[in-house]
Amino acid sequence: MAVRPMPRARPVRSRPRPASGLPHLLILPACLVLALVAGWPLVKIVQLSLQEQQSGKYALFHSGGSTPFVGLRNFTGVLTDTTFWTVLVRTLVFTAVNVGLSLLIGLSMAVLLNRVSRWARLLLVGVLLFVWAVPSTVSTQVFYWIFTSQYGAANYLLNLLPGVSMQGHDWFADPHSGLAVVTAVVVWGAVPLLAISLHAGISQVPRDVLEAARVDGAGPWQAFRSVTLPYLRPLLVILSTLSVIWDFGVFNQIWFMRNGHPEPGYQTIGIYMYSQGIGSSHYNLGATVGVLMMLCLLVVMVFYIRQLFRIGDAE
Amino acid sequence: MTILPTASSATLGTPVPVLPAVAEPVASGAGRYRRRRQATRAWNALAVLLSAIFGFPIYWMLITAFKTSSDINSLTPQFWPKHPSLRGFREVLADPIFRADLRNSVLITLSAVLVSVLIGFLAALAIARFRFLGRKVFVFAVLIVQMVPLLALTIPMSLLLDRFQLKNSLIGVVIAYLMFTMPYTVWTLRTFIANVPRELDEAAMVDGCSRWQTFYKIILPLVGPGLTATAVYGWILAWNEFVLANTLLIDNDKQTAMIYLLFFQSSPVHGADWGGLMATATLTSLPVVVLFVLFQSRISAGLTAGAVKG
Repeated sequence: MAVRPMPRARPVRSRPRPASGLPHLLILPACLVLALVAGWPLVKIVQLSLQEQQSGKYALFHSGGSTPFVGLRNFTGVLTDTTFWTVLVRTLVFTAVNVGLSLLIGLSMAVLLNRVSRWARLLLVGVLLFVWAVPSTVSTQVFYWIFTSQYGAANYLLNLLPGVSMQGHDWFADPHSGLAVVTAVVVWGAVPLLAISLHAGISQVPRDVLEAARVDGAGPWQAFRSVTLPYLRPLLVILSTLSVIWDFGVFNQIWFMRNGHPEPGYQTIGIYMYSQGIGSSHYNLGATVGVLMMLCLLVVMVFYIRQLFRIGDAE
Repeated sequence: MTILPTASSATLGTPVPVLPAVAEPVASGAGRYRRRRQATRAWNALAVLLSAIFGFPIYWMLITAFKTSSDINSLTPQFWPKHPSLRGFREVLADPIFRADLRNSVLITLSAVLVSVLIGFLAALAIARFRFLGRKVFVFAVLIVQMVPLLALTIPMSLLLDRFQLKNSLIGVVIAYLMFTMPYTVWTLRTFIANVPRELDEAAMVDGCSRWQTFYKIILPLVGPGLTATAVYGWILAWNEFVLANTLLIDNDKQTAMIYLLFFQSSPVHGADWGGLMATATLTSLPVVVLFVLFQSRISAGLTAGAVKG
């Protein structure tokens, strides 16, 4: 009994203005800026990934170094390196877990927000707004302090539970439990946007359609699955693509959690790229990993932009 | 689907294979009301619990910032500050490097936002109001740039700025920040401008307004609130940025507040000073938290506009 949102007629557009040189003049400054700050680096990163760095950093910067083109040798080098694959798999698992948890909690919270009394909704939305506003760098430092082994609040509170002994437990000794704490920070920061915009989406589902479903004998779960979810689909697609992009490239949370020196077990692809490229000044290797990272995300991006065009937002 | 006459079994509390909503039309009005009220009460309790869990880290940051060192370094944490103190704040604010970094953050963020709003507004006006050759290409380019992982472009950006001797300079960071503030501004302002009905400016033109007057008297006042929201969110994005600043700025007194926050713990002066760290964290997030909470509804309108439209 799938109730699909009715296809809406496109709004009638008034006749386009005759294009003079004006619109081109208007976008000219933006084009110049984009070419400088995005176009040039994009060309440069591809170029770097095809070159080999044979001299030191100084020579490179004063165009005295030799950086011959080596074709795809950097790529074969990176792709045959087991470290890269370990990092990539870790990143994919991390992304899946984080996106999954964020969406699950965000969607449940959005449903919850539709069922509570006004005061409870104001309270929860208010808290979520503050959570949303806190920079990821700040929240990571706060979580680090909460999970610190000796005086941390987390160990103390968990220790109060019967049968749990967490006194002096070091969450960061094992990268897996350390990354679990990172997941907590990421999800904590991601839920507000998801919950609040999904809540807005849910309240736009027409009441009469829900009522009709109820009269037809659909339970709350069935009504949610067959009425609410199809309405939320476009929003959900956009939110999940954005979440994938953010979580795949997560950086600040891991970097701050490890005080600027993430151990190998903490490296996701962003950290790996940065440590290789900036940390050790292997610009060509870093650029190669960067290109691979962008290729991975390209698939997701195409999906996102297609969705934007489909709902007519990009028209 | 027909309504099944098995409602009576639902009231007995035995597990019913039928969908629970089916029972409702038969149950008495008062009973249903009571049941719904009880359910709401349970949901409210859950909402309060979730608020407590999600709010805890912020609460913990604030009270740690106001605690004395001996209260912080105690094996049984105090969930209420017994001896409130401003020591952490005083210590951080007295640090000249923190004050310099805070000033740098303000300068960088403000410049990046001003430049991108000025240039971005013109471009947004063009794509929201005109059809022209290359418009789709431009929109596509803006969207792509907005999605490109900033992190990947750190390496070429750092080389580019180095070539022009703009590394370790605030201007260099401002240029680098345009990488993300510019596409965001163009895209969001476009949405706000597109929301102003085109008929309005057509009517104004018919009434004899020039194109400039139409823009100045019709579009600008109506887009004003959206413009503010866009600028505010641009401010938040730039203020929170860490990677580019960390890569491009080298000298201590030339860094931003975010970098200060990272190095606070590693510095020998402040090592393990949790109160000072949390005071720094509070001060660093204050300029964005306040603005965000004030402007949130308009910011998220810009962020998800179109997506919610369905």
